[in-house]
Amino acid sequence: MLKKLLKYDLKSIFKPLIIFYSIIIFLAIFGCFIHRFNSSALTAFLYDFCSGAIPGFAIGAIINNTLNLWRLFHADFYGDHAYLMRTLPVSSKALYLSKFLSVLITIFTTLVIVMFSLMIIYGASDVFTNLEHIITAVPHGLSLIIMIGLLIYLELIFAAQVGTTSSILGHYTTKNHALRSVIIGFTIYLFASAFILLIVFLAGLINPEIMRIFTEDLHTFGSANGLEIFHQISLIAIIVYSTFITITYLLNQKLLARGVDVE
Amino acid sequence: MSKQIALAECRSLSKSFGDKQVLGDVNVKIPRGKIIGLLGKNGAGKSTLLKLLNGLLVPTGGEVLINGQPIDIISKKIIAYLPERTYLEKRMFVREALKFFNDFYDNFNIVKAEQLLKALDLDKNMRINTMSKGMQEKLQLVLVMSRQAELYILDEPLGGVDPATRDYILDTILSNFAENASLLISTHLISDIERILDEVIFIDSGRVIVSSDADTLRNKHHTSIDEIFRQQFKH
Amino acid sequence: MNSFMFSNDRPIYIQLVEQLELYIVSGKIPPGQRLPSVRDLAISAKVNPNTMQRALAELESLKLIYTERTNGKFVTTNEKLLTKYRNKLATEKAKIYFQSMQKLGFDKNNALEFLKQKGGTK
Repeated sequence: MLKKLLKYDLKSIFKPLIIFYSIIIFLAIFGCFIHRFNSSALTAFLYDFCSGAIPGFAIGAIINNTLNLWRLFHADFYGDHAYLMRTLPVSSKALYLSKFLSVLITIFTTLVIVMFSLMIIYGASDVFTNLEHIITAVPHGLSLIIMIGLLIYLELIFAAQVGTTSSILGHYTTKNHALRSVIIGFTIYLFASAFILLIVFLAGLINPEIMRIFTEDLHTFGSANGLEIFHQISLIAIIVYSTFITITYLLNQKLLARGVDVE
Repeated sequence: MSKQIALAECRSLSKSFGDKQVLGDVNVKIPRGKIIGLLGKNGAGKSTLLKLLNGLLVPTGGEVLINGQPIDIISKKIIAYLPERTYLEKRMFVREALKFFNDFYDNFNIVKAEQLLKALDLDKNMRINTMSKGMQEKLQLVLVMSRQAELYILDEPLGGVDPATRDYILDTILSNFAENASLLISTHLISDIERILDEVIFIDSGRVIVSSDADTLRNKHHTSIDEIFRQQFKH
Repeated sequence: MNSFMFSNDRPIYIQLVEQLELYIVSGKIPPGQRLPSVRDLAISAKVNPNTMQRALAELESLKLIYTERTNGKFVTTNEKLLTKYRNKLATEKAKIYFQSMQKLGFDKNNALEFLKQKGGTK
């Protein structure tokens, strides 16, 4: 049953995203292609257009992805569609797990396509040679890139999770669900961010290098040194976010299994 | 022989939304193989009761039992629910809705559904949001009645359609429900439906006022259920 | 069967019994005819199968139909019985006629004469 649920959920999220994906990939390949051949004012303009448009569509894709994940969750548990979904012979656990896996899968896909397209379009220019330099010359260079990607991935998943948790908590009142959900969502997100800062601070107590972030201006960090510290902080953030995500998943699942009222 | 467990049962069931109590201390037993009418004015609590039976609302007090057990996957397999609202994804095509039901319900008869669609003049290739409300209701009715369920719960299946269509809908319901299944039909249009009812439950302001065999009531008051109901709520 | 207009004032099954009795004694459903299943009968009459079941049980107690365990339900072939019921129903019709005519001011003999005349025309 989970597979079937997942099939329909993924279809629902990917349908509008395919358009974004197509545009992004097209712009990336086209722009890259344009840049490698001829060198005229027109091709330069087209390349600039493509390389400038991609980040815009990328953000659009990420927003579309996240909003639709929130919308899907809300519709299937609280909206009219819930009258169908919650009377299906499937467990609440499976119903929610399908939503959670959809978050993991769709955001991963979106990020991969975005990063891939960015690499292609910028691979055609000087930015890429700098990137290559970082990977080869700097220690932990490649893992740094992976970490940044992972960090963004986890942050986005966490954003989706906060949306669903705050939706559930906001629905425990009789009126103004939307408003309460938004307030709760912001509150959770603020607390989470503060918590991460706290953890990094505690890590700073152990490792004085890390503490320098709080005490010194950023430009005092040498490139090698700075990257090393960033690497460690990223590691901390990844662990904390993963924990948050796990906690919200378990909390959501438990609350939903206990039973919630449709709107 | 010991008394058989009721197909569905509400024990001291109550539901409040904040301060507002919508259902209070409802005790109802739905037997097997009967057609039961849940009758009451709009806002009496009929839909709330049906939603509770389907696990869409959490009881404030009391419990819902299906075949003696709390609501779970098994009970959802044997219950076919037709809510008052459109619960299908509006951007779906009719044929996709059929496939959906076929995917998730073992007891869904897709061949029968297609026959019913034809009989009701519904096009498989239409998008649901291009259909009129009446057509959407008919579609949902087809999907529900094509399931081989033990309990069909229909919330106002006759609401919002013209009298000719009402007949047709009643016909579709009567001709297609599984043998020995029970039908729990809620409506405020009593005269249209009372002739097919085995039992009636009157509900008002969240409480069960009357729960009886239909003919017994008729014999007792020497008049139709509709008339008895009007008398009951003359205030 | 047709879609007979039922009144909601009286138990449906009683109305079904009356209607089926009429069909049987008039020969519309011939003697010895096998009846469709309870469910099919209910669907064509647009009634609750339980109601139809009750009506059939009543007809069975009147001996107008009988059940053969594996073959289903059949209309009786007992001509004497059919005649008896036909006469009973006809008597009721006659009674109603005379009562109605009395309300119009006809006494029994006048009503009879009137009927003879009317019966002759056509």
